[in-house]
Amino acid sequence: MSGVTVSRRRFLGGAAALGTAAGLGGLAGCSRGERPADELLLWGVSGDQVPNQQKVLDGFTAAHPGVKVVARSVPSAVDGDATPVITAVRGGDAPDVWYMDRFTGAQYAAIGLLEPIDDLIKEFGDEGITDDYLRFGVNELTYQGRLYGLPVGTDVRALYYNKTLLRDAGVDLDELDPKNGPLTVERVFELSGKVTKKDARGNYTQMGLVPWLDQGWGYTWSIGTGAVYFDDRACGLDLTAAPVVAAFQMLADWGRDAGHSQVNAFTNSYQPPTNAAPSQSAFLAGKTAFTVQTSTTVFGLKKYAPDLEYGFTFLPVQKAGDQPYTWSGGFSVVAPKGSRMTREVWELMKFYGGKPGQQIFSPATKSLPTLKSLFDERSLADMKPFIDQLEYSTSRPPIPVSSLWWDALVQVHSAMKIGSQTPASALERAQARVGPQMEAYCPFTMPEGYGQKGL
Amino acid sequence: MTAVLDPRATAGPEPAPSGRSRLRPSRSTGRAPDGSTYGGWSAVLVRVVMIALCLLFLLPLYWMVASSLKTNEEMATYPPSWWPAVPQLGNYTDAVSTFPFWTMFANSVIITVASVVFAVVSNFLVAYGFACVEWPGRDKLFYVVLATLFLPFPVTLIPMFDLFANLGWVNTYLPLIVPHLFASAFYTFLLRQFLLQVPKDMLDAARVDGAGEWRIAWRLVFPSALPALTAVAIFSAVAAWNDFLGPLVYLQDTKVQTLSVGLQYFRSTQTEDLQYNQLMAASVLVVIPLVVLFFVFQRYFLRGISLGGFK
Amino acid sequence: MTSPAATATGRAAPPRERTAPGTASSAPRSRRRARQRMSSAERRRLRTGLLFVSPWIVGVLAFVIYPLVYSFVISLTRYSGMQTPTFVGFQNYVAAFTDPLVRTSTGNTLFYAGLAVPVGLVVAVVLALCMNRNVREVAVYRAALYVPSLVPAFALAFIFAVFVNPQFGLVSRLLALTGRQNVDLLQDPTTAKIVIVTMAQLGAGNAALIFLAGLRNIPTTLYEAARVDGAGRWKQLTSITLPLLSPAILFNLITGISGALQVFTEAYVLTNGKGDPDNGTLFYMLYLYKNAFSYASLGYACALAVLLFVAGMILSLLVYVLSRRLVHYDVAAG
Repeated sequence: MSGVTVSRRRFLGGAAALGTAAGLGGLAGCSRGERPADELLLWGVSGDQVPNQQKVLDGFTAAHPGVKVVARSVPSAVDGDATPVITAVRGGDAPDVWYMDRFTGAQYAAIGLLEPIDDLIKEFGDEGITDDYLRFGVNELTYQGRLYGLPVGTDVRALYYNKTLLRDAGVDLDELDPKNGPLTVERVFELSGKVTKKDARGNYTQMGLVPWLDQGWGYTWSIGTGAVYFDDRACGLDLTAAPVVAAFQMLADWGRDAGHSQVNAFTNSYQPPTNAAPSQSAFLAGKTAFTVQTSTTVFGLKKYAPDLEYGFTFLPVQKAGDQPYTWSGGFSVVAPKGSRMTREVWELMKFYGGKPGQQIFSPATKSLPTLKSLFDERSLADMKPFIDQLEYSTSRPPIPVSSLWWDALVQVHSAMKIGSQTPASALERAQARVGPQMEAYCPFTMPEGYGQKGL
Repeated sequence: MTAVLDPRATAGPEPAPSGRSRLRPSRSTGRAPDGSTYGGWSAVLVRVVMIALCLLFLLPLYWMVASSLKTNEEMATYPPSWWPAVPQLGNYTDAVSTFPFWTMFANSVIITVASVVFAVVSNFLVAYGFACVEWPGRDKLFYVVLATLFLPFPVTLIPMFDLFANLGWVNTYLPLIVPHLFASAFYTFLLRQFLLQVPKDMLDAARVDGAGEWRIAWRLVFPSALPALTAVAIFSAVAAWNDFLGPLVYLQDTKVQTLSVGLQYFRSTQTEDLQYNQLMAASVLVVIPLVVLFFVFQRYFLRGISLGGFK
Repeated sequence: MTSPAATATGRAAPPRERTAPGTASSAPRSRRRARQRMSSAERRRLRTGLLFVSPWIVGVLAFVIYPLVYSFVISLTRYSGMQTPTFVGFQNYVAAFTDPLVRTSTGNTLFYAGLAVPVGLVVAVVLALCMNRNVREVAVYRAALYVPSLVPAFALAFIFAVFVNPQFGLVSRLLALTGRQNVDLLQDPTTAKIVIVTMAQLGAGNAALIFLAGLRNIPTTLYEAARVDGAGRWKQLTSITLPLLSPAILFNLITGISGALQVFTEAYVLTNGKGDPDNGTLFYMLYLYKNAFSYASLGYACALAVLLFVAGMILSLLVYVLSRRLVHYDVAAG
């Protein structure tokens, strides 16, 4: 127990006017001693990725003998809930390096949760380190011109299809070959019509593409309709622009025609809307012929449905001849406030987020590399079709209100699923929530090159 | 708002005589609320209805236990089976080894025991002050106690978080147990109702004999209030054991985390391969201590709150 | 002037044997005396009394007054929890009144409270009546009806997800018997809330114990007298049991309202913190929590908390005023 705690104890004892307070000292939970400089604390991955991370860390300690890395899995109750890290930082127990979903990078930077790493780059002579990284990955970690971390892995969204179901419905699978380019949305729905089945009571028993399921976010479709969410000149977010409305309208129309409650009753039988295990999915169960999913899904397919005969192609486009499109997410290594920002910390970030780390981590977890020089790695050959899509890809806008913005869009999406609101009014409500919050951060400009395609 | 929950009111069907053994309500008849007894068909009917109600209430518990014994494949079969084909006791050993179950169990025990001890002691003292010592302004102040009964917890969430963060108490047990040192409206209210039945004559006699209040409180009143204290102990044990938001906000380090959040942690660490059967097994293990506690103290417990009355 | 306490004391005692032991008659006198002057004995008692209740006084200052004041102060700022707060005046309150989700989450919470509180009271009274039956196996009923209250919400949420599965769950199975289509209760904002209300009923055991305590304090002689007068079972319930239970009902009502306004855990675990579908289970407290810890808008969250506090106080007061007419207190003993 440190001296500070003892004085607190005294204060309490007095305040409480209870002798029992004296017993508190023994109950103070873990005591936080200072960690030695060569012992780094990492908040890393969790679950079955831990062994893969351990391989990366083993590689790091082999290259940097004398440095010890203590890796901790951090429970995050729900997505986008920053409670753990806020608690740790405020409690003076912050990790040195944090494996963070980089989508919220700009937001956490804006609220002062992260340390910029520009000084580390300069101090240790690593200028130019970002050149090899995917631009959108770096941009997601950039806020007001400063860099806050290194992107570790990424993914793309694609249209997966169940070959058996389609073949049984008499569909020629050649049409779905990626070398023929993307299909139109209309055509995918036509093919879907061929596989759709209902039982005597009118319940769906088999469907084609349920466009809002899995990664079929309204946001995903809106990239296809050409939505741009942020306008630099006006420093404004626009969720009510025509392309955004059009994307959500597509979902609303489809839902109206297919019957919202019938579709939900069908999909949610195999895929609970929340708390679904990764093995619980209508596509994995062989009940839907198509789904929009991330490249990482090949991992789950292999694990939970090894016999499922599947293929994947580009996301369907609005009209024939449109350019393919997709978007990417992924994780990063960052230094939260309270990180000691030493050479060792920087070395760990560079190793984990750089070539050596990704060479180990990407093949094992089926995530795509963020380093262009790794695109042709032999160990990543099976992911090559996805890697090739990265040049069409972009990330979600790195804005300081990113989780609020995303939540608002997900809620509009949720309204489309149940048909409770029109796209226009739902998006207006979302705009009313997010717009004013964004204004508080103005003036703000997007990182250079955001939204432009190409590597 | 509080006059109805009257600080002056006493409860209990009869003036309580002195001594622990006689602090017992006149309910030896064990009658139904309306004092009647049922016979013949209506007795059967009432039993059938009650058994049905009990089964309905126990269904989720049953499902939890049944699920905890299934294989993961059987969990995913539709329609679900009522009882596992082959009960998988291994789920339990797997569950406790997949996440730091025993560490979290120990944390839960420490936090719960400390909370209970502190709650019992502090609420007893405060209730004694409100029930057994007569002082000017006492009842007015008790209205304030009752008013705080209705204070919404969220109001305190952020300020307390900031306070405890500034004190450096985050990721320690302190934010979850220290507040129990300072009594709480609900338990003070329960205990006070009970203590009001302690005969004044007995207290006065002790005072005339020269006993100090402190001594009277601990030697005379505390032992006779044990049933009500048991009720407070069990209520606060359940509240501490099942508390979700508190540990969620204050404890992020698995070394200090409790089981209630541990279950959520278990789920989040298994994102790629969630074993629901093990999750259910872990849930069963979380519930068992409370169920045991309830059965062991059931008799005391019910007497404690019954005697307190609600007036 | 009669103090409310004195009035209530008189009224709180039911007829005949409900005479309060000792304290009831002496207290109003001592109270009136206190207003005049304090003897040294009284001062000593005051000191002793204050000393005994001092933990609570400290508690109120630290855990009630301080948070209230602090919440209010923070509610006037923009504050992420990480940087120094910036004063913004009443901007957060203005934002709260125009935020569509404040309206939605308030509506959800009121819907939940409007349903869960009365249903909860009825269920708890029924459970208490069962727990109080004059049968040999009553201990079994007590345990069976109370033990579900011990199950953590997380486990319940998972179990309920199975029960409401659109194809294999109990509800859809019943619908299938009538030849109707499957429904997904969790994909409709109204039925999703009803599922959560249903889930909450498994925790009715605690309120039931409070009622049980009240039931056991109703003198059996009252029922005997009523039966002599020829009152039937229903008449006994409505004219003796429920009126004499009314203080307990009021207590459970107010704690029930307070709890319903703060409903959080069920929705958090059942929808993974999302409040799906279409914010149908986004309760006020969940929205407050998200603002504080997902969007790092502590200032805004504090404004929401202050508003909730005000609303809770107004509601409690309203219930209290109504209860003065409805809650039964006998005047017989004084």
